[in-house]
Amino acid sequence: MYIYEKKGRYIIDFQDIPAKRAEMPEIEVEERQGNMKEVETGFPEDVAVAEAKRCLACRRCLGCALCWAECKPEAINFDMPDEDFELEVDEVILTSGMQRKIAPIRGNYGNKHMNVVTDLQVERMLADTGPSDGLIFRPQDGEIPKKIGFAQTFGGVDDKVRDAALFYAVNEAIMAQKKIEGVEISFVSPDMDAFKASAGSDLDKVSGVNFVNGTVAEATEVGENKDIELKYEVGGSEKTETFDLLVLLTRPQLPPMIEGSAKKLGIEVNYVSFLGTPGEIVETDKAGVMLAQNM
Amino acid sequence: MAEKNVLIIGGGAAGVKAALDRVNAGNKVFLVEDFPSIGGERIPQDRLITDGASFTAPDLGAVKENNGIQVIDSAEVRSLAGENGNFKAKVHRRTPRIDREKCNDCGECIKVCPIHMYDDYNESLEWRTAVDYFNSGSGNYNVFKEDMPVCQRTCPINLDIRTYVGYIADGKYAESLATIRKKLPFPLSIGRVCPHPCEFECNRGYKDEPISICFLKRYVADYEVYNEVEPPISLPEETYPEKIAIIGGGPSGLTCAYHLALLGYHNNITVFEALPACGGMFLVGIPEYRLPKAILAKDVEFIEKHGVEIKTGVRIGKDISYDDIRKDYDAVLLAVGAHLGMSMRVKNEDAEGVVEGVKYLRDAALGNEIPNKGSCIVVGGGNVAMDVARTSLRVGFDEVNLLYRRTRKEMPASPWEVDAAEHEGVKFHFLVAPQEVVVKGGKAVGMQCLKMELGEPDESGRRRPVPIEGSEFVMDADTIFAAIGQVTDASLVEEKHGFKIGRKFNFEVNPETFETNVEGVFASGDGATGAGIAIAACAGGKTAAESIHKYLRGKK
Repeated sequence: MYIYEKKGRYIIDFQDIPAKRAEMPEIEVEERQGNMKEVETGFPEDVAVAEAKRCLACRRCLGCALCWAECKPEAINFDMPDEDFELEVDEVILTSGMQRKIAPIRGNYGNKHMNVVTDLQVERMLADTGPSDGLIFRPQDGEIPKKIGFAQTFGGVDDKVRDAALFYAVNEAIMAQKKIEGVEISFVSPDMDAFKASAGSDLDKVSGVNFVNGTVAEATEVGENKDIELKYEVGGSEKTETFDLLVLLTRPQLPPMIEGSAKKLGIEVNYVSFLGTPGEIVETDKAGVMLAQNM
Repeated sequence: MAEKNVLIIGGGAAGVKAALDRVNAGNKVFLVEDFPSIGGERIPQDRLITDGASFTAPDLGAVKENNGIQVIDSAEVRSLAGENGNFKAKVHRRTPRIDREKCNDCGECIKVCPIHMYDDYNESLEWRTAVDYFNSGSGNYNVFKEDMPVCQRTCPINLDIRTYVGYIADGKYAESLATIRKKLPFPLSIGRVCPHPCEFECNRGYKDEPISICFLKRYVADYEVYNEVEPPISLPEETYPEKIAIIGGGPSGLTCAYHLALLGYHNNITVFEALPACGGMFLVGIPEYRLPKAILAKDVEFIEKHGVEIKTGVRIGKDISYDDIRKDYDAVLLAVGAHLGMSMRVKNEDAEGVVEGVKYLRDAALGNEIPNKGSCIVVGGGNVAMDVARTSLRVGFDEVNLLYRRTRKEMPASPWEVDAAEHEGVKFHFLVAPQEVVVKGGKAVGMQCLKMELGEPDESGRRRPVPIEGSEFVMDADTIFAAIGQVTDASLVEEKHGFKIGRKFNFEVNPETFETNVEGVFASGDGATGAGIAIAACAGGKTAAESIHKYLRGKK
């Protein structure tokens, strides 16, 4: 079957190397009373070696020159310098750039679990040019998820930013439905009711997704498959649901280069400034400076 | 309309579309993008795709073919100013290390590259090599090279972390320790107490959690001690005759002595230490439960074995004069630390029962008599305050209350120290500022405090605490510890010696060379830079050693 042909191809972590960092063993609090005994007792050998193996050795170019030797057109030049230059222009157009913030789930690092991904990662999975030829997969074992949760863990943003984040993620849910036959999807957002008003009747056309106006409380790894158990509150009561894959929504924001450039030009912009008619170029208070609206 | 030059910042879908719009209207476009490539498909954020349309993809082919658009990738705008019709932008472009005119897109470089790193274009879902083209649409090849791993770059003493951690993974502990000791002679101590700025930068943190770099250092250092391995000492054959005096046997002074020995001055280095043993703040600042004295002694012994003479119990200005030292030695390092507590600037601060936190820690470490009965208040939010509070719990106080005028978030102490203190039973009182020591019969019996709220951020970026009117209350205490910062005791030199003294009574130095304004005299560590972290003091000592070497050789 198609799924099994893919199995193992997208495993991204070595199973013998822990994802979590080693914890320093300590003596109990009772043992510390009335004395100055050293609190931390040091790693045992196996822990130290496993921890050291977690080092990525910052896998950057080491200058081994294998590529240089291989390159027939002799295009590789390690000595090529950085460049500094000045541009003189008549007009400046700013775009929103691409920066999105992950808000961890309260109380733990829900976004550090292997089967918790961000909506940005799902976008890459869904793209035909992405790492999985357009298939959504679980990072832990490469399996196709049969039950997916989407969770919005941030709040208090401008309505337009909220809508942009939700349109984006709901679109991913729609695409996931098309790609995975019979997939079950729950979508938990504290702003779902407000978003429904913005999205209008189009959202009613989306069938098979369980849209929940709720608040995410906790995400934990459960079982051998490291499925994700999500706790959330809806209408005053707590609900628990287990997913093969949990997708965290990210909050769009302006990258420092855009904010900095705007400031240098003496205008104030925020992410909302770029949420108008897609593709349109709008004027700002400063003549000659324009904003290209998000596509 | 005349042709205009247009700068577009951001090479995403909107930037590419704007570029094509402008160029088609007869303009010339510069498209600046921070990432090594432009474009990429996006899922819409402005509507639901119930109509079946999914990704929107910018027309990268049209950009490539159009001579009117100059794509400047891997670039940032460093300055931007001007008016309509006349803007000037300074652009910095990181080198791709590949001549894209010559590149024929064969991809052979990617096949042979042995490096595997997270693929940033694919949100770290798979690996890429150090050579990559990021997205097939733009095909902009790029070799990603860093001068130095980010952990090493962050380390004040520039430890080769990648190498020593790699040795541990291979089980080569002696080689790992030798790598550390090329720069740092205190692996046992630093491996226990360092607040490890490197770990906050560690790239693994983007994936899951940073590497436990500090404790790995401790592991290899402990390995040598527990297995009773004699540490290898190797000194250069070429030696120099000049004599060097180091005043202060703490992290900075001893690191300087060690590096001077490695440079060829062994048997000509004398360390003058005022206390009965060496170690400085390692000895009398960091409590035993974080760094046992016996462990610290091993690091000191290792340094001593490099032909470093250590004279303890000798205080400059009392047991020996600064002038005598100047006469007998060719160069002098002042590494006297910052051992005086700062004033709380509250009324009745000099009452009996009010104790400087640093003095208390020093007395506790040296086995001197210390207050230990009843309840105490610790004022401050740094690591010294945590050390004072946790020590107080151990020596016999029934109740330890810690006052800090901001909230937990703004505390400068390492979060794990705060957690440990709380775990052990220290009671924290946030948004509380001391106002006046309450005195009865000449002795402190409590502190009158004010409740605070957080106002606007100050220049340090932390929100400034503002008093709440009428919120005064009194907290009882038998002892009050002030742990709000340390300054240097520069009284070992006199005014006639002509040293420039800074705001924290520190010796002012050239930050590159650690030279003072007096020829032949250098200063490093807390006594030069103001109170800081131990590894930075060690780093200063190493740099000072190199400067002293340069100075002495330059004189010949």
